[in-house]
Amino acid sequence: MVFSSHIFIFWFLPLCLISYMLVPKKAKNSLVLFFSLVFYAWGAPRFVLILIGSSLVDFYLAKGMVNNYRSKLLISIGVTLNVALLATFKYLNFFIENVNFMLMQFGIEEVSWTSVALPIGISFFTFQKISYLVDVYRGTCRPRQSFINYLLFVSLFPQLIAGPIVRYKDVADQITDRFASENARERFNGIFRFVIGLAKKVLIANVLAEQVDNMFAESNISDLGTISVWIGMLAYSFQIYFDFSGYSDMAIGLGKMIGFTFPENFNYPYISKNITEFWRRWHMTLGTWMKDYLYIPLGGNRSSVKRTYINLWTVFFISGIWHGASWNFMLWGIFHGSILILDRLFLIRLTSKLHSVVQVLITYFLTLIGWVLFRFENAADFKLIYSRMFSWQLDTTPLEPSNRFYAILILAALFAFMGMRKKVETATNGLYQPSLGPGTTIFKSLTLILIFILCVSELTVSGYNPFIYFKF
Amino acid sequence: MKSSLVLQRFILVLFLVLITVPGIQGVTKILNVRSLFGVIPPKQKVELSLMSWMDGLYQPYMIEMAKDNIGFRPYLVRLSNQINYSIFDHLTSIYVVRGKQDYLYELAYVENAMGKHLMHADTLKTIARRLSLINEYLKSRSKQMIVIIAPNKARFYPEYLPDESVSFPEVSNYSNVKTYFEGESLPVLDCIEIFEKEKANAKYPLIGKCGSHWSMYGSSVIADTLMSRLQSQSDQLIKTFRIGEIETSDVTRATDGDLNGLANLMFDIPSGTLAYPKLEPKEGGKKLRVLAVGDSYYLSFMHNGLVETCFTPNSLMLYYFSTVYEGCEVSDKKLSDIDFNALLEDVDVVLLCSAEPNTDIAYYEFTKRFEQLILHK
Repeated sequence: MVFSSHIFIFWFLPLCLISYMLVPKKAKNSLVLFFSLVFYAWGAPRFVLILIGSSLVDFYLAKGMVNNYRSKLLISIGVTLNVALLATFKYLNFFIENVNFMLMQFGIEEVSWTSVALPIGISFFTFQKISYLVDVYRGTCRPRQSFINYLLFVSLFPQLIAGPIVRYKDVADQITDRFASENARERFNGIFRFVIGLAKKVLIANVLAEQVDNMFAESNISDLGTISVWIGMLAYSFQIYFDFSGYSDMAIGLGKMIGFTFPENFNYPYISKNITEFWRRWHMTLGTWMKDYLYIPLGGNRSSVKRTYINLWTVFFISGIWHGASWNFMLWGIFHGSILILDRLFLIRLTSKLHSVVQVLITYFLTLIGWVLFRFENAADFKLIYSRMFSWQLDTTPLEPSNRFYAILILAALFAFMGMRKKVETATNGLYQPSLGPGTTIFKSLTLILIFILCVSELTVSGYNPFIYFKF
Repeated sequence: MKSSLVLQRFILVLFLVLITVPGIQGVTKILNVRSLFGVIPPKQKVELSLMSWMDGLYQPYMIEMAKDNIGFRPYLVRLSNQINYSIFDHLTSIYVVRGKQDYLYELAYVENAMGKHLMHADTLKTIARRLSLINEYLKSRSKQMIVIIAPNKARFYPEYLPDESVSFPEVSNYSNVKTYFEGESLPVLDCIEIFEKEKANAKYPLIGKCGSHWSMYGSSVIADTLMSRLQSQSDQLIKTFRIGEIETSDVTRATDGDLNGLANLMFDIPSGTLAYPKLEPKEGGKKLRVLAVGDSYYLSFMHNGLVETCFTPNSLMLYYFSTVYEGCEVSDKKLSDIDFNALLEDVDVVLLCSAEPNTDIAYYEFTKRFEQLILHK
């Protein structure tokens, strides 16, 4: 069930919110858990038991770690099981496909197998489960005494499918004691945030996506000339940003409506002056998770410079394959990891002498190059796109995007880069904070109602609605 | 600070109302909402069962159902269409082509003029042959038949069509209908030709800017020609009319702005000034009992007053040989209630009236039925 659907907005959400407000405090967690499991069972009914069963294993392993000399063994088992779960569902198909390809090269008979379906949200909830085990192991948090509360942390519907990735320590206290933040002010703020996210998705990302998909459709891609390819890639860069950050905003907003405060996931990533900064602004919760649970355990930057680079590269390689089991995501991770190393070696020193606008443009250009790898699974396609981007060619059959597409593209660029002015960045981020000023409240209220009606109107006529990050 | 909190609480309640009421309205339809023009293709129903849920078949069905049946859907669709039209200069409707200076065309007519959707030649030949048989039979009983080829706006206003739609090939449904019908020496009233001749001199638009059909003025001009032709071929004095006072208005009536409806906008696109003549009966003459068969073009004769002025109240119109109109009203009668044998003997005139995209569906069943009727006599 996607947040930007009628069934979610007009059935699931009101039922969940109204019943949540009506039930006594004691029943609130059970109620949210019930709705979360229904939410998950809607999209992946066959995998609910896997979610519950694997959470049960985590729950008892974590309990067993406390004051236990074998806690290292238990954490190893827990992390291994979770990684194995992810590997089985996400990477087994890819692995066997490649083994079969190799066998075919040597004239050996292929391995016959039935492909494994990918449970939605597995990349996200597996990382959350690992964070729980590690946080308990490190003693940062105490293990949950109630399985219902632990399962709630794993399956909390606002962030279950596509994040933000919530570390256990971020929400541990909120699971049992968030009632202070359950007030009209927070809920109002949550609604505002949800509607802004909905607008990013419905009014911007979907409009761009329709044209991008049309441009890069198999039947059209070879007809594209240089200008169309650049327009398509610019649109894709904004599509993915508004799609994913829109989803995160909706998740954060929904969390606030039921008293949870989730970490921020985006902060004007395209105004970054280098790729290092980009990763502090893009999918921030993945970056934080990777840092806490992978980069630091690998040694971080405490060892030699060479080791630090290897760690960095490893983290980004894993980030790449976390997104999807295919070579293009690996290449995308390697591309970003390599630029990060170049940043540390000389790139930041070199570019920091330039005007800030130029630095932003260079960084944006690099992310755009990366998005080509992210967008096209097929090597022949991304090679073609690169060749068209950097050699002049006219469209064979001109595609004529609508006025609306160009208007939204310009608007998207404006919204994506407006944070370059520090005042704007502070002011817009401030809009998400609970504010009691009457002027701000009136502004937010009017914006909220107007945008919500526009979004629902657009949703009602449009057929295009998938979230990019749902497939991860 | 307190007022802000009150406002926030109010918005919270308002938001809950906004997300709750459309679902309830969708199910109960308590409030009457003006529906949209056009159709939502019916979806194959998926029953809720453990299997359909586990196989993920029920969920997409419910998602679509929730979307198609959301309360106040017409308002939401119209709002989106209006934004696209007013801000992005784009008309969303799949049925309507937006031409230059906001002239609207129905897609089917433009495509027919462009030679698309050609009807099977055998079908048209069969219709023409059967009509010829009916015509001969009527003539033998001193009755008349006229086949009216209704105008096509795309042919009438090619200058306002989008540039990519102005090439009309020689072969089209119109050319085929004309060839086959004239080949059988059928009495044809070709309004495409008449309108083309009248276009330069017409005092008022013969087809409205936002209408698909002939305007009320245009249909009155054709009514005049029709009645003159009927009188010229009749031995007796028949009831005819003269055009009396002509009222002009910027507000469209009857079908003059029907494409605005199909565009599903919140606010109509202005149609300009259109004329509404009053048909005044001339003294004397016998009112004709008419059997009409055809498409919506004939309905304009009910709107402009021709049917009431010149035809008997028991005249029938068989809309697509399906819905029955008696006089100017939809009748409770079904086709099965009508004694066609008696009708054939009783009517004075058979009028066939259809535009080029509808010729086959409008006439095929009628001609089949009447051919059998005549052959069995």
